[in-house]
Amino acid sequence: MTDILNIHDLTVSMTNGEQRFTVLQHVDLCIKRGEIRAIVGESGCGKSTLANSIIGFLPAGAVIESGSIRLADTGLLSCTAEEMRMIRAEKIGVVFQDPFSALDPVCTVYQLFRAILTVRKRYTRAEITEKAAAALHGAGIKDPGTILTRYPHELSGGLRQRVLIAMALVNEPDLLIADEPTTALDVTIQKEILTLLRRLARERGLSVLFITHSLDVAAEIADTISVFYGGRIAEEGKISDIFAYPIHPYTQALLKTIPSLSFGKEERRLMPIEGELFSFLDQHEGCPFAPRCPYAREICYHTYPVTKAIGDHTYTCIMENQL
Amino acid sequence: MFRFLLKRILTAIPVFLGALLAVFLLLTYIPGSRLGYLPIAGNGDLLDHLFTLFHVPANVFTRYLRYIYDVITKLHFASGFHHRDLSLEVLTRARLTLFLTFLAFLLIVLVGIPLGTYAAGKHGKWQDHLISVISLVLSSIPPFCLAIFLAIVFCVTLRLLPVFGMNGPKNFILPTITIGASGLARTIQTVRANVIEALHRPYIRTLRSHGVKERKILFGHALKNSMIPTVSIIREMTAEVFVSTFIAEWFYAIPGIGYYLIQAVNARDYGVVLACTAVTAVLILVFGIISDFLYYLLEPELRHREVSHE
Amino acid sequence: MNRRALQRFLHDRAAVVSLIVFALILLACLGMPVLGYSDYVSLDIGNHYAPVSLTHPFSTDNLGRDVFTRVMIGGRYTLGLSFLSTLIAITCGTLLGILAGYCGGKTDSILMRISEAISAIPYILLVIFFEVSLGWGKGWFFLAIAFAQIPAILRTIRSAVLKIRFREYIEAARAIGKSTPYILFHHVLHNISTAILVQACSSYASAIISCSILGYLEFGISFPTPEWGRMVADYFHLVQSHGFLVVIPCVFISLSVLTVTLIGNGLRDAFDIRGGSHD
Repeated sequence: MTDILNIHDLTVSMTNGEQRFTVLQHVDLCIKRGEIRAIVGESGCGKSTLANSIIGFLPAGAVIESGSIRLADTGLLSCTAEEMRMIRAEKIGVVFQDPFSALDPVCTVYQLFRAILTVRKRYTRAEITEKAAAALHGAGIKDPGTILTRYPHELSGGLRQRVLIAMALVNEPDLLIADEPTTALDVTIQKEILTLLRRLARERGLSVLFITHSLDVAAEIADTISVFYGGRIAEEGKISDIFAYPIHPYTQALLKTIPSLSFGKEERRLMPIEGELFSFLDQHEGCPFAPRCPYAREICYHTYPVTKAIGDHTYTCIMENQL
Repeated sequence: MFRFLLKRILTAIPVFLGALLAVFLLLTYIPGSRLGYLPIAGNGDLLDHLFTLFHVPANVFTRYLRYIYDVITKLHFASGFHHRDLSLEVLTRARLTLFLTFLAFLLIVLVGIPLGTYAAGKHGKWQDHLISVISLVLSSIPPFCLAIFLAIVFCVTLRLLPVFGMNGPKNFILPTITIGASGLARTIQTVRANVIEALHRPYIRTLRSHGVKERKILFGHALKNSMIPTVSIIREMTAEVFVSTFIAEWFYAIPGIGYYLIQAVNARDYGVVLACTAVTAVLILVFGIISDFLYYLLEPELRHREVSHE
Repeated sequence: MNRRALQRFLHDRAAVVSLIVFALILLACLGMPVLGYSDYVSLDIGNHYAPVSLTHPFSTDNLGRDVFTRVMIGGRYTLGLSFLSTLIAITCGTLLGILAGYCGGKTDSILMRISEAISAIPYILLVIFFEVSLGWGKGWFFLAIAFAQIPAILRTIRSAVLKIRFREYIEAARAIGKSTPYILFHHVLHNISTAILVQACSSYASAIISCSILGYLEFGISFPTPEWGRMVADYFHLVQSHGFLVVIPCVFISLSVLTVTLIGNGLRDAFDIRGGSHD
């Protein structure tokens, strides 16, 4: 069994009080041990719901309609709340988006580590300090000793995100879920954090589920990419394949939105994606991207296409491989 | 820490003197006041010598000086009818009032904070609704009505607790509830609202994502983040709790400051009113200093919250 | 009150029931004396503790006076005086609160200091000051109640003003040269009016409590006016044998306070105004 995370046919629906709508539809996703997978999609495409379903954080009113999520050998959807809590403590590490509000402001870094380390068993003060310092050091913090005595507001955004990464990894999880961990940071710090995450994952053979809305961030860290659109996976494959031969029109459009340094060339201008943002409230049977797709035909609005594969590069579009 | 306390006590002194001056002037100038008979001269003490030395004329301000001097040197707060010395009387009564108020604050803190946090943890469930309704009702009943309801239930109907008398710990149960009830209700409401809000913050999600137990999140993190508004709302309650103490003393015939004050007001014995007011002012200042000190102890940790939430 | 807020308020069952109950109490206090229950002083010793009937819905007291009439007349005093003091307090508190919030700086800190000092004084002492300086038993105590309410109102209004003080429309009005009084009345007052209404409810609730407490301590209205708190004090010696005489006014006080509080809470939720401690 080399898959650390195996999501099969996951469908999740939510309600806004008046109507119920599906936010994830028949999602299949496998992450191998040691693989860094980026989930790319615009806001509201269901990528955060995916992360929340894995860690059992679905908001009230959300229902898992079908499917299974397996972490190594454990079926997560059949776990009790208490079992889920222990899985979060031991098997899954999570880094959230905004480092500025993700750390309890009244606790020192040491107290935060104590809170999360003592979930599993009792430790002495010295043991906590040692483990926390090691984790902070691993996260690239030069003097863990002083950082441990600090309160979150005394740390910069980059430092906070490093602390959060150290916290996520201190219990040596099998899977790290990073939900847009760099969005709130400066570009230079963003780069550092990405490098750090990649190094840590490589050193520890850690699997990472990296959620982001930008393809270039994904390109810097990931081995493989899943492009989400409207609660479905549009295209999936190795990073090199996706960038070199994007097949799904949405991926192609996304690639055109990446700013490039080659000024002057008219055809390399930034290309916004035409049409309105996807909304779960006006779903139809067919391909969710159809209303914005320049190649859409009549059939796209009625039938959802089957997923096709070229090696390990899969895509869900009626278009044929144009290569 | 020592410097903080010293500074706090020093700033309390002018407040105390000012408050006394206000009461003193008021009670001196009302028609028919017997405060005019306050002794202008002591029995040849230091102040007398100073007055004669500098030929200070006898007027209301020297009387005030004399009064302050007597309060400080002899704890002589005022004289009642017939120049009766009230210092001993007032001070023994003050002890009782202080004790009752302290009990009530104990009830407010030790019951209010855990109960409010518990309700927040059960947000939307029946336990939460029950606690909210009880605290709403408690906050709507004036202390003397509550005392009557309690007396009818526990003393007249169930015959469980005594209403009057000062024979043992049982006598303090009903007064403590009477005094603390509305403060307790307000504490529960404040703590509940703040903890519920804290529970929605991202840092709670971080802790949950690490599998930290819900109970620990609630009491160790959400409550800890709600302590600043909680401490300040309890601090603001001091005056109200004193009023409730006075009423409870009046109702249960407890010989404290409040009972004495109300009696004196109805008898128009302004010497006693002055003495009681002075002592009450001292008690309130003492409570203020204690609560500021507690705030100070909490602050090094709590200050961070205010900064980081900007 | 805009329509959506009204709709939200009408969906709040507790608030609507409270509104009805309080309206009934108010109506009874104002209307019942007109309908013939107006004699609350004449004694009828032979007819004391009369059985409950249409002429004596709440029986009669130890001196044969009709309890129902006494409660209804008492309500006029308790609820009326509380209303009067709330009105005074809200007017002063709002003016001072706007002053503190809008002017800021020194004015603000001085006003806040003073209001802190006032709220540290138990209001019984304030009542004593007012009664002593204005004359005993003349009903001036409602001024003291009003005075004691001002700090809390000032603080609420101040924070409501601070919330909108630097909004664009105020800046815009200043930029196009509108005068300060115009801005205060057209923009500030208009925008904090709901906050004032909600604060008025909670002030009214605590004014009823204060008023009845003063009646109970016999600081308030003098004999034989049957103010609710005063009735409790008058009948207290009968609590063991005829508890209802004491319980009835207590229930009316508590019910009035509870309903006013719930109406206030309903308005607060309908207007979506959050409590003062957090913005």
